Amino acid sequence: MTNSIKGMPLFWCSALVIIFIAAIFAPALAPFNPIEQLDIVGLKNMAPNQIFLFGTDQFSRDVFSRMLFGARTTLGVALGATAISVAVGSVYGLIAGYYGGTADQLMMRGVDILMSIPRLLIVILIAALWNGMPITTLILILGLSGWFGISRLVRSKVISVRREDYILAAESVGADGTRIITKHILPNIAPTIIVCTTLALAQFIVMEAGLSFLGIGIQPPTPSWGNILRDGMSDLGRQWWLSVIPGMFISVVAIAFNSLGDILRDHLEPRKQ
Amino acid sequence: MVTTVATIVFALAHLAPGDPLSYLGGSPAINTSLKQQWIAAEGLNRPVYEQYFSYVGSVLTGDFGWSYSTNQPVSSVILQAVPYTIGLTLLAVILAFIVGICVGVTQSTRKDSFYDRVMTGTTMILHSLPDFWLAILLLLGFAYYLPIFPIGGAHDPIMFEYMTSWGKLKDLAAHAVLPVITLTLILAATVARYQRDEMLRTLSSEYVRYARAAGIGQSRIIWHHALRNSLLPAITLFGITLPIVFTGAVFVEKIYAWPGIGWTLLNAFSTRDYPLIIGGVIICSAAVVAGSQLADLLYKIADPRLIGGDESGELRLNSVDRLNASVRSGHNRSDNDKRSGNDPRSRTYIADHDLNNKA
Repeated sequence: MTNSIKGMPLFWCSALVIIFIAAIFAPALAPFNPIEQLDIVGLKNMAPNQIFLFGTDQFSRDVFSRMLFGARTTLGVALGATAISVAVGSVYGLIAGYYGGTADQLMMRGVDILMSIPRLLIVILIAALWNGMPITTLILILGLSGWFGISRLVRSKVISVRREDYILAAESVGADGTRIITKHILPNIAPTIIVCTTLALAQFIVMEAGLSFLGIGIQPPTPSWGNILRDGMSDLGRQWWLSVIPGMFISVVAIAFNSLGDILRDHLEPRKQ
Repeated sequence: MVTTVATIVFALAHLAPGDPLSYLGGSPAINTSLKQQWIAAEGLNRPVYEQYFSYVGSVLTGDFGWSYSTNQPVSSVILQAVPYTIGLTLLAVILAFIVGICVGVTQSTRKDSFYDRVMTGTTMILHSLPDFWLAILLLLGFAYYLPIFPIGGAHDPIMFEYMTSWGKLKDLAAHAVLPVITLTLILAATVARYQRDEMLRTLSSEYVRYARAAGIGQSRIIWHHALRNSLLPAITLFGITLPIVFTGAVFVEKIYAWPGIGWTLLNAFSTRDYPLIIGGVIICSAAVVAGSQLADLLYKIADPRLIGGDESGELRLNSVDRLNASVRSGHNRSDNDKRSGNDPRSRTYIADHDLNNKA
């Protein structure tokens, strides 16, 4: 799938590294307090200029500082949700794939049912019923609703690895299930899990931003790329920077993770033709 | 299936904090005895299992309750929105498949050319772009800075009633252009990525080499022989995409104020109209399930060879798996799997991921 123009992946990945570094050092880099309303009369809705690199919003807050701190929220939520979904999905897939039989059938049938429920709608429903949610709940909900695909992929890899002779050898010397799974199967399916992780990161970043954009995810005044974008929607024509800049960052990170996933897939899992 | 969704929704609603009348706000005029009266009238003091059965019963008969923000039955609110969403998504999906397949095929015939590289980069970017951002960019560009298209809604708020039917149609079309383009661009990128891969695989197969040897022209080989055989993943993708676009259009509908299901649901969310939210979620879920059934059916019609493979009982495959199976192993799924130990599910996540991005 990847045959992009040479150097493009490098560009995306370096952009990713810069954004991560900026997020880590946000308190040192941010020129202003991200939630402080500097001067609600004099400094509101300013277009990007030398002092306010990304302009100010309708509450006269500095968008550049909000973007820096928003990167922490957005990337943090995505990392947390990815960790949960990859962990749950891998364990579920390992168990189902290794033990097989009725357990596997039941487990996979459950995943099929869960996958057919539209995720976005359920999240909207939960957010409506719980009256908004704290960040930890958001991470949990995203993570716990995102592992189905991963578990199926891991399971299929486990099934093909399980047929190999070295697993048979390990079984014949009396190694138990847990040992075989952790010492023999896991290292062999690690590349798959790594590829999944990068693709999941792209997906969760877009999801968090989308939910915050709808007013369901991160609640203001805590900045996240999604809700900065949302702030801009109230008067889109006159504050283009509020919507265009966060969207650009979300896109760059998503493109970077997706192309990283493509590269990793081509290198770690050469397709059998 | 509808019962499962209704059960989950019911459980969520009952696990949620707060009492059932909290949406009324803390008005002092509503005292405790009045509250008790209302709770009894709504049957909320009955045992949970009784409420559950009566709820699922009414959902199965199509009764979703009363939407108090619009003051209509939930089912009629949803019915008003459905044509807008279906019109928008159907048009976008059809256009996306035409564009996507053409781009994928032309790329595969010029593999590694400048055109192929540029398009690969472009589809990669479009495929990763969040649809809400693309919608905002198009809205800014073509409705605000270059006021070619109207800003939002499905028709002119004042003049629409006085238009002739031709005028009404033109007005609707003008309002639909930007939402349709947004959805089309993003979907077409995904389709093109699949089509390019599949077409490359088909072009390297033996019957294509044979056709070349027999002296059949390049364009006939591509458009007549190879394309037909590489369309299977696209057909499955079509069936899976339709319902996912249906729920994924939430963002696009929100930005262009297109009065479809997504827009209705978000309005219900902001007014805390619980019966409408719950009814909408159940109906959308049913649509998603119906779509995946349709995908299964389409696939069987398109490729009768796979029905036999299904009955081997080795693995129960659903449409996403089949899509990946065919993408991976060039349709000879059951043979290939047995020989090489390839599992058709192995690329599942990639397709799931591609589609989830849209949802």
